[in-house]
Amino acid sequence: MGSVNLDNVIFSEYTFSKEILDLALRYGYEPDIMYRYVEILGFEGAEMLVNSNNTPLPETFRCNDYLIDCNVLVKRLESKGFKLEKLQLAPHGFRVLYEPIPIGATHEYLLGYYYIQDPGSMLVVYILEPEPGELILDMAAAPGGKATQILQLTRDKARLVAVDISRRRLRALRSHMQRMGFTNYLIVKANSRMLPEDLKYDRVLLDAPSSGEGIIRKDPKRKMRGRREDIKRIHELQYSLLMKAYRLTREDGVIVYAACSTAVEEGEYVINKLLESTSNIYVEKPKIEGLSSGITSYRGVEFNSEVSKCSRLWPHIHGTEGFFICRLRVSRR
Amino acid sequence: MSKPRLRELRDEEYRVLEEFAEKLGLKLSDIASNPMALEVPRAKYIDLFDVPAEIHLILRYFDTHYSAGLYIGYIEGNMLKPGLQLARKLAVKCSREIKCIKLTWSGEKKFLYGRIVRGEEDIIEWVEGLRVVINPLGEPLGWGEGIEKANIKIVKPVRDLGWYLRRGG
Repeated sequence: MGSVNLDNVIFSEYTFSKEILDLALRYGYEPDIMYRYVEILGFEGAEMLVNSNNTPLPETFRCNDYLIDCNVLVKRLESKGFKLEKLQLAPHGFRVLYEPIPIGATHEYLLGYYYIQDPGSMLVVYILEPEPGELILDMAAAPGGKATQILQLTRDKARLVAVDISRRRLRALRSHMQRMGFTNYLIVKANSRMLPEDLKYDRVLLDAPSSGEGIIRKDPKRKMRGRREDIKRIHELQYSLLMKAYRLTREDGVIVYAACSTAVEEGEYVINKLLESTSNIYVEKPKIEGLSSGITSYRGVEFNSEVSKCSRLWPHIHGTEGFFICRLRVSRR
Repeated sequence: MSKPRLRELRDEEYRVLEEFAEKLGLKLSDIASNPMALEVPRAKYIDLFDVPAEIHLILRYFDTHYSAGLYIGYIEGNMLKPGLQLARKLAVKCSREIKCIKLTWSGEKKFLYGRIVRGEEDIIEWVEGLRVVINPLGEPLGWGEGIEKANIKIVKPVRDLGWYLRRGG
């Protein structure tokens, strides 16, 4: 089935059962979101997810071991009364169990020793696996969590082009780069879809603009957004950005596509479209263990089996925000 | 309208940078190896960056630049107003190559709130003029000006790390 026809199926009108409407009403959700939850997880799974979404996401941060030994940082913060716990999924990640003052207001924060970041967001860059010397593009870089992490993991030795369209968010990106001590970057204010294609990158990170359905734990107002027509519009933007990422990646280069959403339309379906429209790209399963696999069947549509190698984070399984992450390799295989 | 772009420094901008380095007892090369100016149409000041060579090579692919490399500071009139990232770079030279202002922990707290610091309780080492300010561990806190008034030595914050919070991100 062609992608246009698939669009007609994936974005066709939802038929709501009484059970879905009751569940949406009971938990205060937009029925379209609940429909998608039930479609992916069934009633039981959907209820587990919405229960998890009612638990606020704990504060977490990424230690910047480019500037400080993480054990030293932990000791310093603990001596000030903070209680911390190491994150399982992210090597530099810590959960804040108790904060005597806001974690974003310490002198250590001002000195650039850490970045306040959710675990799923950290995971994206570990899956990118940036290497020193590489030319790396971050297509939606502000406010800078992943961009600073790329330079941290490469000891400020990758050449990073960080692009964003929002002037307000770019100011934050620039501040974080400076605060955290990084220099090997160029920040460009631009629409990523308009970037020149004569410069090819070793790795491209696209943390795509999304519905934010994955961060309901942080922003409960999102329970009442996510209508089907909005998701279609976002999907189209994500797909056009991913196609651009593909054109900007050199042969044998890596793309990591991520979306802070649990919607298949923003995850597997975007990847499926790319796989169906190109012949020299495939999905690589991340080395990190414990992640859920991509969904291969949705609303009666069977996706390319490669999408099962993509990864998902679920609030009710991983205790994180909801996230979709997929690592792709451009190749003439 | 033309877009902001990084360009090579003009002679007079080089001179400003050199004079600033000299006042600290340094050479221009200690401050920056490849200084560039961000040309912003109708801007009242000029931001300066030390752009790494490998980043310099890719500038030409973009018709506009927002920021790159190490932020040196900005030129207003014929004065360099140094940035926080430059303070971080130079802080490692404190004691050995340049004279810096060193504060106690209580002095650090005041300084990071943008308050004037004075007295032995708050100041460990004091130097007159615009200087890098560090804490007892030698960590960079920003730029301050050592001033003596009626035999009282004070440190006036010029640009402190608390600015990252006060400016809102």
